[in-house]
Amino acid sequence: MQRLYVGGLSHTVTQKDLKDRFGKFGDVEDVELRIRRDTEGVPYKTFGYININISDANLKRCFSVLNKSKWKGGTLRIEIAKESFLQRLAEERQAAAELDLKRSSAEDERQKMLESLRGAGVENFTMRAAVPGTEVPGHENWVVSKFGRVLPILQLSQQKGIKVRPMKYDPSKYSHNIRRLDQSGLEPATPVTGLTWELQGGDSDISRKRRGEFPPFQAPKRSCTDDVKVNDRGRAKTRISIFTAPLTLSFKFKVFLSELLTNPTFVLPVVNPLSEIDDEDEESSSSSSDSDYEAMFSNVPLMKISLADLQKLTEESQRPSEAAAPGSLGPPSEEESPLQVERRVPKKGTTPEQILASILEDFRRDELKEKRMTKKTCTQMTLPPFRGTRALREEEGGGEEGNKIQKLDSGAPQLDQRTMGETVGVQRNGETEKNAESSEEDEEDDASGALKPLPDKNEDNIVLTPEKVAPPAHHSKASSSEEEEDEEEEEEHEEEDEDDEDDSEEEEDNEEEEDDEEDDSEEEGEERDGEGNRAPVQMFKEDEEQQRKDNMRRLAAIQQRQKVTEEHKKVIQSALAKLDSSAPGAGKHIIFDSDEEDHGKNSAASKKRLLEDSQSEDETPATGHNNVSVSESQRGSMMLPPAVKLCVCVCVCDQVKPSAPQLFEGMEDEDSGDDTRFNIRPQFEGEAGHKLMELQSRFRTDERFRMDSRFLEDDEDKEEEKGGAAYADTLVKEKKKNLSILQSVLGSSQQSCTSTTGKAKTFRDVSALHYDPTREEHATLETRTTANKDSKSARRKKREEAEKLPEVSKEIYYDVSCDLKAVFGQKKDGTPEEEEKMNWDQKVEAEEEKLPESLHPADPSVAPEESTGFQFSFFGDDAETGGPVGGGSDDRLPRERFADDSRLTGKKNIPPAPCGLGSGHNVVLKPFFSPTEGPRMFCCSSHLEEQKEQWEERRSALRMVGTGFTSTVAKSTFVIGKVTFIGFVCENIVHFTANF
Amino acid sequence: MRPLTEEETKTMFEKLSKYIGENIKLLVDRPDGTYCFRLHNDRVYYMSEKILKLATNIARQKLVSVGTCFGKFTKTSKFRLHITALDFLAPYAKFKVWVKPGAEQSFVYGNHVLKSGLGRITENTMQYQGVVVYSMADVPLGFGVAAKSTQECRRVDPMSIVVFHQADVGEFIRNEDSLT
Repeated sequence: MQRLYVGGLSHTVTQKDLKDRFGKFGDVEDVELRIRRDTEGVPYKTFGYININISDANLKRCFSVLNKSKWKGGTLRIEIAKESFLQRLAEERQAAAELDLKRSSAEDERQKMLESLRGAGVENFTMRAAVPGTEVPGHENWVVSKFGRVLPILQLSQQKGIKVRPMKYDPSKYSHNIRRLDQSGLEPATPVTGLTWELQGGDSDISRKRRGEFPPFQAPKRSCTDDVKVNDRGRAKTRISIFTAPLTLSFKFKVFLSELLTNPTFVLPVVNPLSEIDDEDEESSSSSSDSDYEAMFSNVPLMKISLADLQKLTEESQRPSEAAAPGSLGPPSEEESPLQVERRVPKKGTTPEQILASILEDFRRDELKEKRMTKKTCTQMTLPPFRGTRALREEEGGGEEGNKIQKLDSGAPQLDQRTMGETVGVQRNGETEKNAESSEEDEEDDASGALKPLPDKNEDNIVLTPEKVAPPAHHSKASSSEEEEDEEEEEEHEEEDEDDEDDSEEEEDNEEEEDDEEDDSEEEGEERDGEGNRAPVQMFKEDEEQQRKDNMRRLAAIQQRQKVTEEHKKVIQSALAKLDSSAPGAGKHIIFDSDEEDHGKNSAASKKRLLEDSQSEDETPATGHNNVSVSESQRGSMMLPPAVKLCVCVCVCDQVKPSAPQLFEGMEDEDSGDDTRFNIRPQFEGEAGHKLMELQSRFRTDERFRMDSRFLEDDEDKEEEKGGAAYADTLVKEKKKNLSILQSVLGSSQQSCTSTTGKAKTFRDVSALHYDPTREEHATLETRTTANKDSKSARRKKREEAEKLPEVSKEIYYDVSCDLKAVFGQKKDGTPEEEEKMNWDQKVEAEEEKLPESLHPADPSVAPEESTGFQFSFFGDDAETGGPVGGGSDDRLPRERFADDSRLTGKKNIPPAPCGLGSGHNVVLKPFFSPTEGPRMFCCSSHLEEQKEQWEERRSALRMVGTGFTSTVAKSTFVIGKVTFIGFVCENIVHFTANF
Repeated sequence: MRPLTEEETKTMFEKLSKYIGENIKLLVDRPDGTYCFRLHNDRVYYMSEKILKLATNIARQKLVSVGTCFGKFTKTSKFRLHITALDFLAPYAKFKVWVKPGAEQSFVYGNHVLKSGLGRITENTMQYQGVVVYSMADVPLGFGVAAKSTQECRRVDPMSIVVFHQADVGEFIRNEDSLT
């Protein structure tokens, strides 16, 4: 079946047409016509699909005939089209259905196969209990292979050369090649998390860390077991449990305990340098422990414990925990809560009891199994009666206390050293120790405070040593020879220190480090002491005994410590001295100062130098007069060349205080030493001395670089001054020149330069500036409001008037039609007695007499022109009345004065109108009162009396004004042109009439 | 090392006055001490009296530099400012030009300042006025000469030169050998 596309049809074509047309070539099954229309519905394209059963030949013919042929007005285009999607879908479905069918059939086949196999006794392709090679019954090509599996025999084609041979592969014959992959037969797999790895190794730090056991410092409760092999004496290996933390300590203990278990009288080391000899003695007698261990415990103090002690101790520590009996033997708090204790003593880690307890527990367990022998030996030992843990603790505490005291002792020299270091600068030690010291400074300060009772203790020691109590039995070995040992220790310490100073320095450091621990432990020890007092009575005696013994030990330790500190001093001094290259040759190179210098001074200086040298060589403290140092100096003098020896002797005899920095002095000498130490040395006095001091301090007081007064440049300053002055002159000149040049360059005047040279710019805070009336400088800030201001205001007014007059005057110009002169004519007669009162009126009056003369002549000339024959200007009135209205205030005076002035000028120049103010307008002045018409035209007769009263009441000055009125009018000098005054003028006039 | 002659002083002051005007006075006449100019190897050094005294101890041949080099006299006896003087000129500068951040690098590499890189300029800057060039963050970058007055700058097209390059801080690296 083909599907054809037929294009280029006319839209008139129908399906039937197409069917008919293509029917010739084959059986047309279906015709699809598609007509495309545009938006208006007009068809523009018509095409169709034809499903046709057609043979290829017919198809070709069809193409050749119908393709590009014209039919019904269109050219046909025929192409083979793709199948319609419906058909395709149908086909797909059909195919799928077929596939399903096939599959089901295949499955059936497999199922059948399986079932048949099952029938033959094969389950899941395995045949149990069948020998490989047996054929499966009923299935010729199936064989049983290894593990009972049923496998098919394969027919393979093997190509060998050109020939292809069929090859038969029987899996049963290759069964030995088959290996089982099935996991079911194996043991159950361990999960990854369950996997373990182990590192074999010793008990070293590293191996522990590799195993992931880091020593916990805070809570050292966790314990682990370790195998420790102690091969010291070729004994059997012991297995003991130890506390891991703190690592070093516990390790020490462990090693120790292993030793202890083997020989019960072994001595435990506790932090105390005393122990060294003991240890050594013990070890030499019993065993030779390894050198590492020795090094480790070189400065570890001693704790003597017998095995029995330990055992009892553990029992004791266990008992209270069960019975909870407080204060039975040991400190209850500790026993009740070992954890707390541990927390309290974090550095120390575990208390010895606990360690011992745990060790012994394990030990006992082990003993039962392995170490019967040692156990026996242990038990066979003559054990002393147990005296409680206090013995142990106090011993330990005692040792530590001793340490502490020693520490205190050492605090003093350190303090000294520090104080010296400030002035003198002990640089070598200072730098190395400063860190440690600064951190411990507080402590040491406290320590220095606690220093004072120490000498007493020393004495106590001396007293106590004879009455030494018989040592307890279990200490028989150690403590019987204690004193001797101490002495030995001291000696040996001295030797050691002298031998290796560096070591001792390190020791010192170590001790400082350990100090913290010791403090803690000591506190605890004290606590325990307190608790020990509450301990049962049965223990009391033993305690006392123990205490006495402890005291002795403590005192011995103090003594020893003092010696050690002395040794330290020496060591440091010697170390410093050895720094100096000059030291060895100092005896030879004695510098003799020049003779020019003062002789006494010279000798002193040389002495000083020699002394220093000898000190540096001798390592003796320079405090000559105390017996210790004397002896030492004697000892030293044996080694010294004679010259130096002599010097030393001189120093000792004369007790010349060495001016050189003295690092350390004897304890006894402190008081006297301090006085001199802080005195200003003569060579450092004064300004030059200060310079010298600076010079010396610049080289950190290293004696090699010591610069004495010879290095001082005396003339430097003077020369400098002279040169400086000259120099400054030239510079100033240069500057001036520069400035002048600058001026010329800039072209503008910069004169202020020289003046500004002296002035330093000072910052002034404007906000802080305030006026202080009490200060005289601030008087300049005050503004004066006095006569000056008046005159200014007057001037201003003058100017104002000069300007304003022309404009104003025009508006205030009035014609008076009536002849006022006649009306007011009598006023002149009434006023005189009042005029006499006023000073300023006198003048006016004086002039009044003149004015009429000057005015009157003008009258005839003016009067004829006017219709009324009289002109009155209120101008003048205003001026005059303005004053009275103002209330007769002070400001009238200047006006009047001015008026006078103007009057004078006016009098000279303009006889008729003497307004000298330059007013442009014509003020025609007439006699004010005209005799023809009276003031009746102004006055209202009815109000006359009232107003009169009013005015007389109000101010008496008005009358005076009234008198002045005529005169001023006549003068017409002073003007304040204000229209507002008119009213007053009127009133005035009224008043005048009233006066009349 | 010697003091400047009058002529030299004049030449130098004229040059300096282009940048800081009468503020030269503040350099010559300082309140905090005596300062002076000295000529050494044709270079003018500005130093305090103290340093001058110290420098007298050094031989002339050995003396490389003392104080602050302000510039040098060319063979034709003109004075040329060095970038080292910037520290003293910048605070007293009367006319300033701020360059945009993008143009900073260009200027510091020795190029003129174009209008496009001009951030700000002091009002009333005349043409050929000495200016100190700042970055927009007010960091002095060098000095130049105004190629256009402020008014002209407003109109001119973006690619035209506004400030001629004279010296810039890049010279501290570029001319390390010659700057002393």
